Amino acid sequence: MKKTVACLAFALLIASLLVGALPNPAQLTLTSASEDIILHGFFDEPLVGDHNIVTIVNFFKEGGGEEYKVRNHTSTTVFDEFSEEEYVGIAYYYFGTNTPNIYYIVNFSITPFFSESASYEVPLQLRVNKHASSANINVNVGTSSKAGTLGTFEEPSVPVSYTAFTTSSENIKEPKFAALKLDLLLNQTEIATKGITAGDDYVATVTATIITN
Amino acid sequence: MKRLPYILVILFAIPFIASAALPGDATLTLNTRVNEVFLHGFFLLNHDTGTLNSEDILEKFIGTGALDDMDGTGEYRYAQNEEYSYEDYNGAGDFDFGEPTYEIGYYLFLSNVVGNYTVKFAISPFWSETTKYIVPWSLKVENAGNNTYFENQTKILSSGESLGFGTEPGATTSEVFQTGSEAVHKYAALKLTMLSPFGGEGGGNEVMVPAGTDYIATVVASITGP
Repeated sequence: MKKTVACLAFALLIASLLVGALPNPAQLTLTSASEDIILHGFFDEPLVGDHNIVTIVNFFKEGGGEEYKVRNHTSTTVFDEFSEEEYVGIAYYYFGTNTPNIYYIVNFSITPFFSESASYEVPLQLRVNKHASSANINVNVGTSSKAGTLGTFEEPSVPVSYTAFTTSSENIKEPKFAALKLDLLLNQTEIATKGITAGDDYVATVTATIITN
Repeated sequence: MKRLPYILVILFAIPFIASAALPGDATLTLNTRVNEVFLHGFFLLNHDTGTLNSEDILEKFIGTGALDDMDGTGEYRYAQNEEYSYEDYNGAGDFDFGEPTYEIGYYLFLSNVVGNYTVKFAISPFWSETTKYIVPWSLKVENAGNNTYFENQTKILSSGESLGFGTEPGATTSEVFQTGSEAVHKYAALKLTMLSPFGGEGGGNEVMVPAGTDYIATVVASITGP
């Protein structure tokens, strides 16, 4: 028995020496990062085809090159022509981000149409709808408060705010995206009653602002 | 005529007298040793001037100071570790898009030890402790020297795992080459290229990876042998 144990110990010793004859493993460590990307903005034309975080990012890239990575990038669209329709499609709004565990609120600040030359104001009311599927976003589908009052004024009325959507939770690691269709509501009855003073400088703006908690 | 026996005796005796007068052969024995040298590791180097031969490989190791402590006694082992960052070398900055391939550098192997040795790479996927997101990738290994172990070969080694959220993944081990047991010095230079898991911009596999600054993957080269 003692002989067996001695032989085994000797074999282990030899084995350990043999293992020691080889160099240690060499390690290559690769590091990288995935940048924070937060994209949002208005588009005249909608994205065609599948809506997902990659197609939305590419949609932004096509229009902005490397600027697509700019954080909190805000764009505005200008509506400059009235219509006789009650609902007028004015723009599409897209949002996409890969930032994990951040709760976002997106507010639309809406100003009425106002003409400096005519000193006349036309109210603006916005209807927000989903244009396509979204991910990890709760869209506040509905109609905003009315900004402004139809009539003659020295200054435009103050903007109104509308919460267009929030992320569905704080603890979401997955990418989040949303695609919205924005319609303008025009009270044609009121317009027909009061009319709109002529002017070629009526301007209203919808500004999307991203807020984090 | 009577003198003849004496003359014969003298003639026979002369050679013995002469040889007895000289010392034996002197022998100088030169005794030395050739240290066992076993070097391997990763290098983030550029080498655009043809294939790497054994002298080139040795110089690369000398350049790292790998042999500075060699004192002429015993065996000598060395493993060269490296860290590679996308941002430093390709400017891609993120996983989402960018180039379809990234040239990392080389794995170099040099040994004068007799025996048949096997080199294996254990590759782990990228993983972020922050986001818990896994990004698998592949490593292209090509012969970059005039070694014969990897002649006319290209291997694609995969980290395994699937893209998505998960716990910290393990590594996938693959054999890269065997040296053969011939009693000659053995060397190998292998060029390493990372293949983007997304095929690069427009590659059709683009994915938005959750933002994080701590994505890490490893390649561990280990040697087994007699």
